[in-house]
Amino acid sequence: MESCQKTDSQFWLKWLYFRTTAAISYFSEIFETGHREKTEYKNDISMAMKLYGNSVLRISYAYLHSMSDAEDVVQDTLIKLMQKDPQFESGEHEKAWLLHVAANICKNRLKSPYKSRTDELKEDYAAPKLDDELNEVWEAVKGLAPKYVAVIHLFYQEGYSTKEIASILKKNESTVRSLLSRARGLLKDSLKEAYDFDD
Amino acid sequence: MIKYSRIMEKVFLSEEAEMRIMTAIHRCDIQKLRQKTKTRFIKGITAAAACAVICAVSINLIADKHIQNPPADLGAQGSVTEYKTVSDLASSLDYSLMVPDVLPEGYSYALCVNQFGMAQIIYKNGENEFKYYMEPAQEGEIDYSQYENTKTEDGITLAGNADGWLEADTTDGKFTYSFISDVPLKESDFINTAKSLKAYGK
Repeated sequence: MESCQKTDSQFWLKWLYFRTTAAISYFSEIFETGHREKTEYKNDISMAMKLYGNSVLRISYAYLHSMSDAEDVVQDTLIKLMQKDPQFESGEHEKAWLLHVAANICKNRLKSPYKSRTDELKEDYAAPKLDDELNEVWEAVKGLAPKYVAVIHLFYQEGYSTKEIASILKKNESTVRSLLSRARGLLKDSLKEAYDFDD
Repeated sequence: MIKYSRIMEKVFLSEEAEMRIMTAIHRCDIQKLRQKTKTRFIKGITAAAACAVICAVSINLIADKHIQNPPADLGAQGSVTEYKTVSDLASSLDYSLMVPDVLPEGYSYALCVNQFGMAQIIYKNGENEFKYYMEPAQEGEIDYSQYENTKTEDGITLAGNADGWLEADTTDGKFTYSFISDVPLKESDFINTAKSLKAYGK
């Protein structure tokens, strides 16, 4: 009986020792990780803003047609970058990731009932001033469905190949080619002589 | 420069907007860190108290949580990830991967990629590539306007030019399966490959 009690108490002492060690290691890791996060991602964010901020803003503006909304998307995209803190193989990889995230945020915003309710009431204070010729093109692009705007923007503005666009938008290469071709057709119809998107 | 690019040149972040965004991000960052630190501090106190009073149940729960929930590998999310083996690619997908059992003559497996959830397997024959894609079916038809010829055979659409076929696509309604070759291939190469699709590992 006595030996049994002794074995029990030894077991519990060992158990307590291992559990306490695990808990201490857990908390020290949390504190260390927290510190690392705080110092590391700050530089990445400001660098990403400098290098890719305008690209993210432009694709967001193409989707949402509002500078203030596009600036919000830039902010949300950079916050995502900070939260996820992914490892990139190159600057191009980072840019593609940011454009992918921004496109998804824009698509979610377009689906949001708040956006559809407030869209027409909002005055876009920082909308670029366009002459008649450019305004005609912009109105035609604005009239396209978001899926067409995305491929038009990435192809003509960012200079990506259909293969790269497929990767950014998570679509098949063939689907991207198809969307691009249809978008060109729609723009040709609406712009007529003013059409200047290369085929 | 096309007119669209001229429009986009006028869309840029002003210094004021950049500062506003960075300030908001830093504020959000500080708040989050504060929240995290506060939570961690409370957890630390709880753990210390638990240790001091030998509160076995509390410590057990915390340690179990540590063992069962290691930090997620965020680097692999939302990106293009290359895998050495098809098995690794299959594990990374949230659907059952279908792979061709038969390949055009001379081609063998090179590498595979998970592109934001779309499976891509690349087979090589010297410098020539034969790519296979599987992804959830998308709305709309595939555009074959860049090819001279197209035809559909047993539900498989072939597209190519005078020298041969360069692309084949088929679907089962839920997924689209595409095969794209760098060099023209025979009709039978695409048809036999597309017909040989079967669930990976079965």
